Amino acid sequence: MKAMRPELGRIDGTHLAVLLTLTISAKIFLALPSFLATRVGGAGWIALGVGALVATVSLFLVMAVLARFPDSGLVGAARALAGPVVGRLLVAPLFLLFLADTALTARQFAANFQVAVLPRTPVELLAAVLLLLAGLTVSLGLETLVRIAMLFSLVIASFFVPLAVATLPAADLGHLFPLLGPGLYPVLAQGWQDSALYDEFLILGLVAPYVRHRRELWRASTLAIGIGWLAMAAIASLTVAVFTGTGAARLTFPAFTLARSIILGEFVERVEAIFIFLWFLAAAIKQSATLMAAVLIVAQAFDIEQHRPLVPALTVLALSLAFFPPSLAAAAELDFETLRLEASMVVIGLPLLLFILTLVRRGRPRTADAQDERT
Amino acid sequence: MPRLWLKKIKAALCPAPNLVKRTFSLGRRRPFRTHTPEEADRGPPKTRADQPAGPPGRITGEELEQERIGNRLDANLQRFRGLFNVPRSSDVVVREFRIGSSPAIRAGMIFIDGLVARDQLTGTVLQPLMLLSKLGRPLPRRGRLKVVAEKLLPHHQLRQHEVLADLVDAILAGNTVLLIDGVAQGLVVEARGHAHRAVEQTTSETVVRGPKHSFTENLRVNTALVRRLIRCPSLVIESWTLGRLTRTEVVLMYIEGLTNPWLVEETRRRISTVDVDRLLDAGMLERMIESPSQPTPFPVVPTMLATERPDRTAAFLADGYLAILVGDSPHALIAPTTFQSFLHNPEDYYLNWPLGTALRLVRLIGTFTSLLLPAAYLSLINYHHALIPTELVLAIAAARERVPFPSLVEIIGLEVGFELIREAGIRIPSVIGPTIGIVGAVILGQAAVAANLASPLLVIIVALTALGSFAIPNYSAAMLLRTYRFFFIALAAIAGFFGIAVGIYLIALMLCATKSFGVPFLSPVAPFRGGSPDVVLHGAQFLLHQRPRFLRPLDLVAQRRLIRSWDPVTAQLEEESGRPEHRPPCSTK
Repeated sequence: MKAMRPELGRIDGTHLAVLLTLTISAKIFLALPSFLATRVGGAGWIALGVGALVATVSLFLVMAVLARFPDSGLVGAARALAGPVVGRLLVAPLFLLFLADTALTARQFAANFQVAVLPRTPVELLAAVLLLLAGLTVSLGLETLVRIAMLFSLVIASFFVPLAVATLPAADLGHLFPLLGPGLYPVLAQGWQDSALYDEFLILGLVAPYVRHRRELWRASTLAIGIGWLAMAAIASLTVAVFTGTGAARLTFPAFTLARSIILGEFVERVEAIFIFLWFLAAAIKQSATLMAAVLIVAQAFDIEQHRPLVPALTVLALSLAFFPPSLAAAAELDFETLRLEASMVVIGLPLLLFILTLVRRGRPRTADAQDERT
Repeated sequence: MPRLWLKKIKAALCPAPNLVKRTFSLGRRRPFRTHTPEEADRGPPKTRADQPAGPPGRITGEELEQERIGNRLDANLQRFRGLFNVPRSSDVVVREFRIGSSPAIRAGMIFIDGLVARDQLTGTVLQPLMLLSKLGRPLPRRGRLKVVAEKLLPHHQLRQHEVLADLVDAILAGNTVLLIDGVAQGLVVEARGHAHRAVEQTTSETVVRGPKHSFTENLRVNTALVRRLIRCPSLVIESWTLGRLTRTEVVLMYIEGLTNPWLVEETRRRISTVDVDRLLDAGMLERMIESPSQPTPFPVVPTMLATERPDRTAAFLADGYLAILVGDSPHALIAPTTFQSFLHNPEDYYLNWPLGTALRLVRLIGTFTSLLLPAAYLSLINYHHALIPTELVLAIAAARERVPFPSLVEIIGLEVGFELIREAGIRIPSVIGPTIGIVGAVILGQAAVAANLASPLLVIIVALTALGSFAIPNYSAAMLLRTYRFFFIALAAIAGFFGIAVGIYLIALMLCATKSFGVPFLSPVAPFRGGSPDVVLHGAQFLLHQRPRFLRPLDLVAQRRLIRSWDPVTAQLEEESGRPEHRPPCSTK
């Protein structure tokens, strides 16, 4: 398999950690807290924690596979272990997952912007702007993507922390009890499904060839999963603590509603518009990262050296997919119900399958691709 | 066909029939020709086929490079007269005289009037040779030039050349060429003395504390100003001659053993590929060698920093940067450059660190004010009223009640008006120009409010924006922000805060993708590179123990840790932490 390193550049483990953290955490600004409140009430943070643990196990399997193929990523490993055709088929669900993730995120964020600040602007236009920016970012390469994530991580943190702190006065921690919500088994089941909320960690399996020191992969990914869990758990718990489990379940844009509840004295009453910067930057970086992942899968699966020609095509495809669901509610349901359920199978199933293949085919490369990897 | 058009344009630009065109390109060895008066009357040749094949007396640059002068003085002087179009070129002086030996020897000097120090030439060349050279014995035919150079000329800098191109070069650079009958070599006497401005106070990078002097329009004075600050033999000054017509000297300065060799090589490569007719200022060279701003193929963001301060240049060199000086330009170009350099000022380092940090924060606020304040105002007025407290909304509404224009027209009108006043204020040929500009702005603003053309709040917004842009210490950066401000105003008018967010993301994307001489423009923030605290916050001087990591200098340690060892507290800390090995680049040990 031919590498694309010169075009995409090289990145550090720290930068990868920041990118993955932002990508994983960004979905908390969508309808996720509502879905968690519907399913497990105030125990969303526990379910998210269980999901994080499952994702970490999956991450361990990915790292074990990558250790066998030090010069390539998941796609290269799949092709080497299962053959060129079956290998490509194996990573196809991953491609669909990231493409759908990009499309549905764009749709939801665009709809939220429309509802919150630009009611007379067509949602299609807003989604197109978001996806165009993502396409532009991806076309500039991986280095640029991680740099902009690094740059805006400070801005996002500086908005996120005040959001969490300023809503505390309106929170009632009593709403988080009983601790296990509907019971242990429903929470564990939701946790298993919530492992799909961390599916972006699989990006590391795609960008691994471009990371300077591969030993940093594990630290970067666990850090991203850990901080992602903290951020998501904080907002999910705050939403329930402020609006109660039943109230939170009815919200379509919980983070925005949470920002609306901030009151800084009599002079400044409504600050939610300021948080548009937070939503926008989080959306732009997340979509860029997932679109980059989709582009990388295609490029690596078909040995395409230049990734740029793929970007417009996949951007238009994502824009078309974004309007597949008829409404915002349908898009959110598709994202957090159907897609996540499927995604949990990919998140756990693909690494497990590749790991088993690695064990079975130890010392026996399947194809010429594998020979290339070894040499 | 393009070549034909180019020639037509050149012909249109230089139609003067008596124009004597000299296109020397000795540094780059481009073909050149001298024109006869008849040929000059005809104007430039129309096509390649019209160009003469090269009759006798006309030579190309390559031929000149290969040509050596003979030992007959008359022939040599005639050659120079032909090359310099004497007597038509009235500033070229060919002076013949006799050296007072016995027997007297004929000699000649060629120089360009106005470029040489005439008094020096009289005192150290003509007087000794004509009056004080009574040797009482004949000058030997063999080694005659050596005797003249070693015994007769009390001048401090002499060079011998025999290639005609080198001698022509020397004359054009302001030197004097001495030719002696019977000697097939020329003696170059360095007696330059063209008029230039003295070293004066800096005008665009003023400070309250710290050195006040700035570069001037003399390259050697400028290099000496830097040499005086970095008294280190490792300071290398490499030079090029660029510009086929202007033959401008360009120097590259760096510290050997400290600056990353890759950076030096990359800068050398870029400079040496410049092939232009004219190079009149550092800004022109900057346009040729600066990196493009991705995703555009053009350099939109300034990726080189221009400074007129020798102390700032020296500080950059000591950190591992490179500096480029160009001919008569009073600015040094610093490469590579990162974003934060445009917000720094030398005074930050001369003041106590809390004050330095406070000043930087003020400048950062000024930057954001200059860039975003009008756009934010427009967004609040048009899209996000809810964010404004009720009392303030009512006040703004009352102020805007009589203004007949939409807020976008109002703000664009005032901004454009202010830019006009500022530009006009700079061009007024007087020290009171800026004052007139400010007074004009205030009076115009009041008149606009009185005429109900603008609301008072908007005048305040525009004034604050202008103040913010004045707080930015770099002229190029301030200009850039002024331009981008209109971009943000347009985005805010279209989509409020969402539009501003799009604009911020786009510009950040461009900055993230841009590199300056291979160094990411937003280093050390994105990508994050640790190091001494000197980006936005300014750490205490004794904490700045590392040079910028993103430059990958050969010696990262700028000073040993905890240099205040006289202080019992810090000395104790020093003992505990251990002193890192520190060998300065100039150390001879």
